[in-house]
Parts: sequence; structure tokens; C-alpha cells
Amino acid sequence: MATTRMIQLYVEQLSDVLVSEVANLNEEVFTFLDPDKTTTVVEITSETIGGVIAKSSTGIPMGISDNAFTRVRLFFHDAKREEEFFGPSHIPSPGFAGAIGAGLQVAEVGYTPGPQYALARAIGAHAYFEEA
Amino acid sequence: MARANESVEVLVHGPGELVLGLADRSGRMLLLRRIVFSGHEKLVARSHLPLKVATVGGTVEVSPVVVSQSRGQVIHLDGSDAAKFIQQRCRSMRARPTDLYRAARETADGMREGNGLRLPARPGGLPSSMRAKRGASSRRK
Repeated sequence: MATTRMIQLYVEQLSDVLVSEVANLNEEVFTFLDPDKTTTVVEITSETIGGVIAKSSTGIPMGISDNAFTRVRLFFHDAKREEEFFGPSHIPSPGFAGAIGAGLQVAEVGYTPGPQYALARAIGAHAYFEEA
Repeated sequence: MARANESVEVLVHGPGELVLGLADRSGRMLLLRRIVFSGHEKLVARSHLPLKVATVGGTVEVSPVVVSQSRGQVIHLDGSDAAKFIQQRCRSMRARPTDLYRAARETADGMREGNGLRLPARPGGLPSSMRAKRGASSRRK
């Protein structure tokens, strides 16, 4: 019987007006998987809201980011083996036997936009796995 | 506390909502990060926070503070219990833990009033060092 597992992740960042750099975002959530089953990554998606608005910049385009880097990793008993999947993806992956865990990662870069900027950004992401 | 990478790894065991802040040695909250994750009771979230922040007045050392967390969540900072790490960080940056806990409490109070994620209002506006800097720049105009 197939089991569906889900990871949902939301991260929000807000900085004071005195801060002159945008800290990067790099969040990852891990779950355990049953290694006796075959795991399929069913869906990976993410969405961003907010962003960075700068009055002046040092050559880096500013504005509202339209997407975050999103990655799912499957881990195995053999630490050297790892399978990576990048989102958004709404098509099931091939099945992988022996996966012991999975991680959903979202990331947005950090930078120094200049002396005056406003930052309020958030990323929401989810991944679904099927174990059969 | 000399650190090569100038950041701290945050590990959160258990799903729910966590709000972390970065406060300077005077207890001024400079950055807030909210992490919400769900799906399974044995989830673990990993994040990284900087230990130095560039401000208009120069780079300042900061410490992570826990503003709020869900019941049952266990937080580790660089492998240590969060409270222990914050105590050590306060010592290394010569900050009073009470100032940092006050900043965390004020932030949490502001969020409890239904305002969402927001930094606490700073009584008296900018700190004196920043006022002097801004005043000098406006006089030059």
C-alpha cells in the first residue's frame, strides 16, 4: 500500500532599516523515509512573496524576486549516494529503492544593496513523496 | 569566540513555528526570521544565521535569540542547547543576556497583538551613533 509523505516549509525574513545587507536564506527540512519501500518524488513547488526594494544599488538588479531555488534530496545508507531534484516539478520522479530520508531546501541569495533598502521576503514550498 | 564562517547552524527538531531574531549587544533587534514547517512529527529543519551584520553604522556582532517556538520543538545552535549558546555568545560579544531577552520579549509581545512578523518599535528613534552620522550627512547637503 502506498504512503504519501509531505514536507511543507515557509520562511519569512524581515530586517531593520539600519541593516545595510540582505542576509541570505537557506533553509532545509528533513524527513525520514522507509528504506524497504520505493520512493517517488511526486511534486516540488515553491512560491515567493515580498522581496527587496533598494534606493540605490551596486550593480545588482533589485526588485521583487519571482522564485526561489528549490531542491529535494534523497539520502541513502551509502552516504556518498544522493539523488537531487529541482523544483518546481509536478511530474513524478522515477522510483528509488532504499532511500532513508529526504530534504526539501529553499534558498535565496544575500547581497549588499546599498545604504537604503527595504527587505521583507518570504518563501513557501512543499514536496510530496510516495512510498510503495 | 573566534569563528571561521561567522554564522551559526540552527537545527530545529519537531514541526511548528519558530521565530528567531538577531540582536546586537545593546539588545537592538536587527533581523527576524520565521520558519514554519509541517508534514510529519519527526521533521528536522536546518537554517543558518549570521553572527555579524552590516549596518549603516558599520558591522556589528549579533547573537541569535529565540523569540517564539512551538510546543515540543527542540532548538540547537551549532550543536549546543540554544540557551547555552546564547549565554556563551553574550559573553563573547560582551552583551547582557537580559538585554537580548528583553528584545525577544518585546518582539514576541508585538507579534501576539496580531501584527505578524515585525520588529519592535525603537524608543527615541535612531541610536545616538546613528543620529550623529545621519546628522553629519544631512549637514553636508
